[in-house]
Amino acid sequence: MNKELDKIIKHIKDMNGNSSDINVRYFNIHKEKVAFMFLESVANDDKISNFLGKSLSISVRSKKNLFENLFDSINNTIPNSKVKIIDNYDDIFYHLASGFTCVFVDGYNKAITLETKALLDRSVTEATSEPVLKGPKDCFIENILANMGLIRKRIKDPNLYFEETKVGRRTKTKVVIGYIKDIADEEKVNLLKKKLEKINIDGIIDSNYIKELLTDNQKSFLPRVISTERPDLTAMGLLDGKIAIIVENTPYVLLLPTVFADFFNSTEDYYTKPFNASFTRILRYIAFFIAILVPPFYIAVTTFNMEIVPSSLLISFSIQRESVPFPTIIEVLILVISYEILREADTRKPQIMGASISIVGALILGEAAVSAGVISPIVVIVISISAVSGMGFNDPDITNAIRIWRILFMLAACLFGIVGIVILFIIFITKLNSIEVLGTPYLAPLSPFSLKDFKNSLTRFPQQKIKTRPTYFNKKNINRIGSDK
Amino acid sequence: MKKLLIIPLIFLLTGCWNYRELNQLAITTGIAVDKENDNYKITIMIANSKKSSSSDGSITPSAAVYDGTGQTIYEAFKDTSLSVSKQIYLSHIDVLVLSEEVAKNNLTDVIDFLFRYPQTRNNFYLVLAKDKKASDILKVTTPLETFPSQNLAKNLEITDKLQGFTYTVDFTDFTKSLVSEGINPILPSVTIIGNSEEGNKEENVQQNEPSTYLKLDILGLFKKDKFVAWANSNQSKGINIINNKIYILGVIIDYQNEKIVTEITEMKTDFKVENNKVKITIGATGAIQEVNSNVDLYNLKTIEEIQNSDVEKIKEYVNDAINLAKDNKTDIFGFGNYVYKNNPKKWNEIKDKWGDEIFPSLEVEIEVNLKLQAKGSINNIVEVRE
Amino acid sequence: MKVTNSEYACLSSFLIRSLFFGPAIYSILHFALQDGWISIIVSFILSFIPLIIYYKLLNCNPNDNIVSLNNKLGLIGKIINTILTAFVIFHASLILWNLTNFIYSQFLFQTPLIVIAIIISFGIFYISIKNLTTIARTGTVFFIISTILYFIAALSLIGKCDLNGLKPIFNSGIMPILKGSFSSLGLNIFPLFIILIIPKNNIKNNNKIISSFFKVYIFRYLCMLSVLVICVAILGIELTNLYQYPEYHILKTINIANFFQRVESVLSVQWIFDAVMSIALCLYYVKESITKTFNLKNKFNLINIISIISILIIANYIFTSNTVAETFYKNIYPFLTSIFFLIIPLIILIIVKVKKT
Repeated sequence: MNKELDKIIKHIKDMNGNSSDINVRYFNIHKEKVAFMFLESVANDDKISNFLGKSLSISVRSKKNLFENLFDSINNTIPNSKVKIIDNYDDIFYHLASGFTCVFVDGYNKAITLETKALLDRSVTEATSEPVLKGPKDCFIENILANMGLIRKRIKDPNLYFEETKVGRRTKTKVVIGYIKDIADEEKVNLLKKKLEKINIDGIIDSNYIKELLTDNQKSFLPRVISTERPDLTAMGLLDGKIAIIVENTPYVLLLPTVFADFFNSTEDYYTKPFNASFTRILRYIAFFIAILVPPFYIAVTTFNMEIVPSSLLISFSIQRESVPFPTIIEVLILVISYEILREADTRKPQIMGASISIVGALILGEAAVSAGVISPIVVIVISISAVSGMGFNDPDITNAIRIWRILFMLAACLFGIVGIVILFIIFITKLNSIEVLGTPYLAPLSPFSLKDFKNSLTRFPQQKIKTRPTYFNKKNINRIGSDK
Repeated sequence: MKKLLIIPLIFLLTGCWNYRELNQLAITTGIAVDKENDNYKITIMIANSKKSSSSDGSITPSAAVYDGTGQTIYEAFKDTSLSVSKQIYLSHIDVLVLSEEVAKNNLTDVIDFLFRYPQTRNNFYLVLAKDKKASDILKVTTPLETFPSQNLAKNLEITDKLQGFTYTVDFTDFTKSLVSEGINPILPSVTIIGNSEEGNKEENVQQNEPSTYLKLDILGLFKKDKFVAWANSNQSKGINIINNKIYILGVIIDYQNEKIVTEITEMKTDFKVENNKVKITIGATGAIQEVNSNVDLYNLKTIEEIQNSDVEKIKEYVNDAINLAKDNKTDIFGFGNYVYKNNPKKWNEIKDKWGDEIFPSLEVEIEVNLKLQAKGSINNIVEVRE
Repeated sequence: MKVTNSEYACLSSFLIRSLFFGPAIYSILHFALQDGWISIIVSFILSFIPLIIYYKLLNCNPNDNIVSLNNKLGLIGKIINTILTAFVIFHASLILWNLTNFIYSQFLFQTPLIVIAIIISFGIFYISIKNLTTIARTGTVFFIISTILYFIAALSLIGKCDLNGLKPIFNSGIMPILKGSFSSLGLNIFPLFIILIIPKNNIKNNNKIISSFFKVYIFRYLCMLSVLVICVAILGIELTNLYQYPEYHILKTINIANFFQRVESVLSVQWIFDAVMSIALCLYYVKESITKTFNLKNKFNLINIISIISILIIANYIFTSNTVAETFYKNIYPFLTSIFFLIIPLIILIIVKVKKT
């Protein structure tokens, strides 16, 4: 950096093409030129006048210099909590864009920066995409410090480490990794840090970019990373041994490593009675398999393996099939595609409460189509059951994965019946088993079978009985109840 | 990427050989086998679902009957399919009706075909057609059920539990007793009351009392795989008692010139065969159901006499049944099977002579333990006073 | 590429049961008639001999699997390896033939055999290109599903059992019972040799191998015994010998409360799982053996493709008719497996022990 003030300021203005939001103010203190610069769009005017004005006026007024030079004296008298000294242009611009104010003194090639950020985010409000009946309702916002605060106030352990990096060449987004030091696995944390360092992309807009870049070596339709808006879910995950990734400017926090069973748990389970929670969890698993397997099973049973259906039901099915001109697979595909179009159209509407209207609309559409003789009534019922079962999850990634697997199973069923479904099921299970997120097998606790972890995954036992953390995440500090081992 | 290249190959290879739409199938619910001039005549009953031109999705199903002839069962089926516009599908058969001629001569041919065909399941019922042609029996319409074959099957199921002198045989039991050593099969029979020509018309069911209807009848006995004799109702009751197939049995006795009916609700039979002697032990529990005479049910001696008469009656049923089997030289109870299972060496020596010589000369000893537990809801007879 | 000891036991249980539904029941019941259950108990006792041999082979050198063990013996070892690999391919094609015959005769009886075999091969190929940990985990999941389906089937059928169908006992004499045990050993136990492809050091907690292996082994034996007993008890011995797949036909008779009926297609899925997993294990054996013996690299999974195509071809053209197949399974195949999977390991064991001293 140059030593002369004018050259510094000219350089910075040229770097930014003389943007309209750069503001510079010049001072004269004891005949030395001092200037401070800030970007009006991100810096808060009041704070600047509060801090800088006061400190510089103090410097002006005091006759005695306690320090040798003006630079140090300004540095030591600014009543602001975050003050840094920077000596290269890239860092200066980074801090300017983050809302800091830079103070330059003529003749020194360093600059003092202090934080004066304007509040451009919303305040902590109720969660919109993961609603909960009984439990805390606050959710993350776009401010990374506020997010860290929401976690920190829930876990007051000194072992909760937050480590920060910057990712993205142009956006230079702050990414913070949070974990509890003596619960989370060291290897996983180091692996994650190495992966983050390897990311070489120009911009990170949302945490989903990081999600993709971390897991792009294994292709799978099912999600492998939880992204949540709720701080209580994050805190529970951290206590279990997971690692949280908080990204600036997005309210979605990533939790790694995840297993398949995590997508079927919701925080609601911990805020109600354990028996109800177990019942609901088992219901969710059944709903997942119903959503994937019922339309293919219907196709297989009515075209290849009719001996599964009792006689009276079979006769009633065949009566309904009489009035339809298409083969079964085309019928089912028509309904599935129209349902997906309806669902997509519904989510783009600005109001999220419109989901129920769409389902009713689909049913009425089904009724009209049945009367016109295009599809048979039983297919409407089958697709409605499958669609409604597929919507009971709080992560839209699972719903999207369900619809792809459902279509694949339908194709397998229409080619070979039950045998086709079985073979594709074998391929499905193998695919799930080959996924490993940061070294944790995806189908734990089912696949490396451990009976004690079932207490918190398939069912939820009372809190007194869940004595250990999940063994597939970590091996140290296993005990939850009683003292740490 | 290699996997994506293979997937289009699947579509080239398959023609979906086994793919059948439901409306291309003729769902067969009943089969009847007759013999006509040395050829087999097969009659099948199909659940018919006609295409409707209205937009209403609820069409009432109805039944259609087709037949075909051929020298073998397979040919007869193929002949039948010439007249049906759909593919015949045999997985949902409810009942198989055999005529007497087929039962007398060619039973194994029919059974062999149904065994081998992979679509047939083994839970349908077999019945004999008494005095009528099997195809006529299949065609009789009934007001209670849509398909006559379903009607027959349900009739068999219900009366099996309520009557005591019919005997429901499904395919597995029948074939098991065919191929097992020392036991011969039995089949129930069904007959038509009324005019069989009128029976297959719609008008039959449009009156309150149909003029033609089906009725379950007595049992038919087989020796090896040939039909030999009918059993009357007392003998049928005896056969069921020995085979342990009674759920409810009504025993009618004469007491003081009036009839008393005892309903037996539990009956368990055991038999042992030793040294040309059969010992049958029957344990039964019953309740007095209907009293037509003027007796005093509080009197212990009366109850004892009623009990003894019941025991005598049961022994009479059993003896009738065994005498019928002995006369026809067919062991339908499984005494031979018992010898085979418990004393195989002796069975090997005598198995050729069992049916014709040894079985008819077996001594029979019957022991009945009857417990008259209740008298119904009331304690004594209804005394009518002025 | 570590495998836990319970996963090891689950993988071995598939090899036991893969040829059971079909050839083994057929041969045991045709030799020993209604004393088949005694045959199975006798074969359980006799099976300790090959198990001891295999356990000693496993312990020979904890870092080597059977293939690298053979390679250390020099040229003879390589020849033995190639012979064993060829026989494992043959065994896999026999399992595939059995499975396609089952599906052909019961489900899809108008589809040509080759198409059914190709479809099943897709599933098998997909499993076999994954690494060992994935195969082991898939095995655990399928083991759990198979057990649940087996319990549903067994509990629904137990009410109809009539143990009088098992009499007369000891009617056939000792020789048929021993013949039945030998064919049961040959078809079920000797293929356990294939599990030796996993070296001992790749198993976590390898001091607990014996206990977890025995738990699963006894459980599977009880399953097989109970299937045989239920078949004979419900259908009677003559009828069981008449059917081609009697355990499928007794599933057809399940009828609980008039609601849980016609479930034979769904409950027979456990056999498809067994067969697919054991063929996948055989393919893994072949891949390991070829890469280690001839020092090749498995580029583009070429070895897997070639082996699965050869299994397909052999399975399609090997038997000209069903009767030939049944005689082969009953009379000839137990002798073949005893030569390749019992005598050759014995020879290897002796040579290794001699070399050590």
